[in-house]
Amino acid sequence: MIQVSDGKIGTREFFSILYGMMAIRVTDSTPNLLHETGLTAAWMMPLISAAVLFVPLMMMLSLLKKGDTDTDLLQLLTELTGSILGRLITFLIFASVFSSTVLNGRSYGDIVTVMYYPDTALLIVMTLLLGAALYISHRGLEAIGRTALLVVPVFMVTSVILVLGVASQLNFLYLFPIAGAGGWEVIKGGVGYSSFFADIIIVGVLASRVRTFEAYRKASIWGLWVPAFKMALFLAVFVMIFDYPAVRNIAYPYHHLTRMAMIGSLANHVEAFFLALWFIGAAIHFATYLYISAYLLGKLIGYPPYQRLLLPLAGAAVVLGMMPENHLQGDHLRKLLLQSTSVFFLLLPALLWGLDRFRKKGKR
Amino acid sequence: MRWNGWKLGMVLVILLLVSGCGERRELETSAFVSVIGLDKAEQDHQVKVTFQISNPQVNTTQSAEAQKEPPSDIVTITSVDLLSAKELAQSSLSREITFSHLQTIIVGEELARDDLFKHIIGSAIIDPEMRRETIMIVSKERAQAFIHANKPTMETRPHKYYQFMEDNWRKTGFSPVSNLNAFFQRTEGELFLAAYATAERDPIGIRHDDDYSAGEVPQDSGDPVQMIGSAVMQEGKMVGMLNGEETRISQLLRRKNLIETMTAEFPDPLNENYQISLVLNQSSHTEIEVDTDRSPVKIDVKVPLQVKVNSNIALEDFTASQKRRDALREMVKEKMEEASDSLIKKLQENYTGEPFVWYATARRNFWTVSGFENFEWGEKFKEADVDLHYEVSVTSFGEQLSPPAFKKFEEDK
Repeated sequence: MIQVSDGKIGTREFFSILYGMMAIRVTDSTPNLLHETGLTAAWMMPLISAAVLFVPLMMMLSLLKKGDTDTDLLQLLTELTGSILGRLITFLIFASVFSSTVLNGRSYGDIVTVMYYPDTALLIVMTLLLGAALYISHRGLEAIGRTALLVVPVFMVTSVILVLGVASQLNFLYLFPIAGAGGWEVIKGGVGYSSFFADIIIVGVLASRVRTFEAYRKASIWGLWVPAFKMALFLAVFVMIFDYPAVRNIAYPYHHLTRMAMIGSLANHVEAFFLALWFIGAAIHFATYLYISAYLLGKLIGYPPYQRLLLPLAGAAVVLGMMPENHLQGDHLRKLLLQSTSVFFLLLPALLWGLDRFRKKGKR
Repeated sequence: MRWNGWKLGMVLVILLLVSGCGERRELETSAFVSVIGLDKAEQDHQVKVTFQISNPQVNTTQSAEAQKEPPSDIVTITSVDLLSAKELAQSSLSREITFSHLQTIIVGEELARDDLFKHIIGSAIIDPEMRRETIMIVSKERAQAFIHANKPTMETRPHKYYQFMEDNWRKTGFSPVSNLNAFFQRTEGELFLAAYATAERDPIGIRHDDDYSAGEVPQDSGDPVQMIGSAVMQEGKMVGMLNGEETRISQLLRRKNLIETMTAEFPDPLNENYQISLVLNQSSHTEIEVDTDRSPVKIDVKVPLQVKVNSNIALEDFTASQKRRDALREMVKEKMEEASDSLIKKLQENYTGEPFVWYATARRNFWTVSGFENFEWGEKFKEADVDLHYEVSVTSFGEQLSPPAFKKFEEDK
């Protein structure tokens, strides 16, 4: 039956968006940050991050459930913390989302120019990437959701194919010593880098755009754990194929992995296939980020036709992304951003939950 | 918004279509390097790089147009590193050099034994065009001479030759399957085995079965190159050599054996005048246990081995009684253990490390990476007690129930 579009998305679309936002981190410099901290035990860190984030997620879900179906994170903020503090927090979320768009945009541009097209200007790659993202996000959340739903199953299948393609070259013994940098270091790292999955809290601002609360709850729980497990799997695969300490020296392990993959003995240059898919994934990733940035900025400055903000934001992302001299500077900024926002996103739902409790007591 | 979207869409579609032209490479403007040879140059800190460039027109449907062209072109450039040599080679070469089909790196032994080599290869891998699955071969003579001498009769195209040779290694075990990825895995003192090859002949007479190194195999006519045995590399430098037999055993002692089958000679247990050739393979992983708590370290290795009797020159009948089969099994076990023990002794005496990836098993006993690094596995291996056991099972006696009856006739006479 053809349904009339209501601008809202369902469980599968929302899950695909979340997958597109988080699972693609496997392919950029994220594994390097994790391997640097966790050494051979880096694969545990995403699972720790997800477990740590699961508590705030549950708190946020319990708050969203109480309200009517149109409640979202921003409404909760204004309701519970008041207009001024609410705006400040909204600004902080916007700042973290947009700066992550800028830094990741640069990082993805670097990957393309370093690994695949050494003679192409970075500016062109970034323009193309954010241009494609702009085009998708311009069509609205529903379009992002549908595009994601279309390609995410393909990504999942190809990830499995990729792992199978290198399976014969893996040695699970390289995962030992099991605690890597030491148990405490790994846990600390897992908590410190939990903002890799903080998207799960951020998308609370879109809660009212999901058809039902039940759909939102289901999609966000799956959307947290599936990317976390994928990340853990790939971190383990990277160590199993390159071995520690060599894995620390490889700039973009995912792209080296696609080069090493072989499907049969004839198809051994399959990276072009993965590059094409990866670029589509990146476009969806940035489309979501741009959309959320524009949405938040619109709310922040009280400008309802927020879709008009997409173009300036995309342009700003390209210009700002070109500023760091090389990817090391960008990575350094990214590390700072991740560590500072981790605490923020872990505590935000707890703060809201506490305020909610407090207010209820006051009423009674 | 509608008009805006249209315009944007049009621009994007055009961009999308033309972006493919950005970095296009035409087949006829590219020079595909299939083999690189590295040698020490006369001057310090200089390296001689030999590129063997495939001619893509040979052996294709276009070959009619290029009948007089050779299958490959060989260029040698002296420079400070691979990247600048690649650029300098362009001064004489009309086509653009690309490494995208590079499969093999040949290193002259002289350079491999030099401290310079780790700098050359370590900086080469930084180039994104370099692929980690490239095979590394150490040649006894200079790599340049090796590449020039290597003119196989059957394989006109050089990349096919190396690809087929590598496939062969998996079936004979004469050379280790050695790519750059494995080389860079073992940079901290672990031993890495690279295939050893030569186009020179250095006959040493007839030896026992696989006791040869490259160049020593008694061979008349045929292709000039022999690949057997391995070069032992430690910390990016060649420190020694293993012959064919030692190379095979070191493959068997790994947890994950990369060799499918190998054929080896043993003395016939029933008739001391003859040898018997047996096909060996492994049905399951070699089991390795390392006890790092005691000193010296104790290493237990259990090697499962399946034996097939596919030739039986003494024409002794193994199918007649269990006793005879047991004798065969015991003999294989004894000989293999003897050979393995002497290999381990040789390694312990000469090197600080092992090429069997046992360090990965030892890592299981440690909680943190720094704990393992402080343990100094290489030094501990030197002193280690290694307990080797082969578990031999004889699985097949070929396609004859018993050897032909010539012998019986002989005895009756």
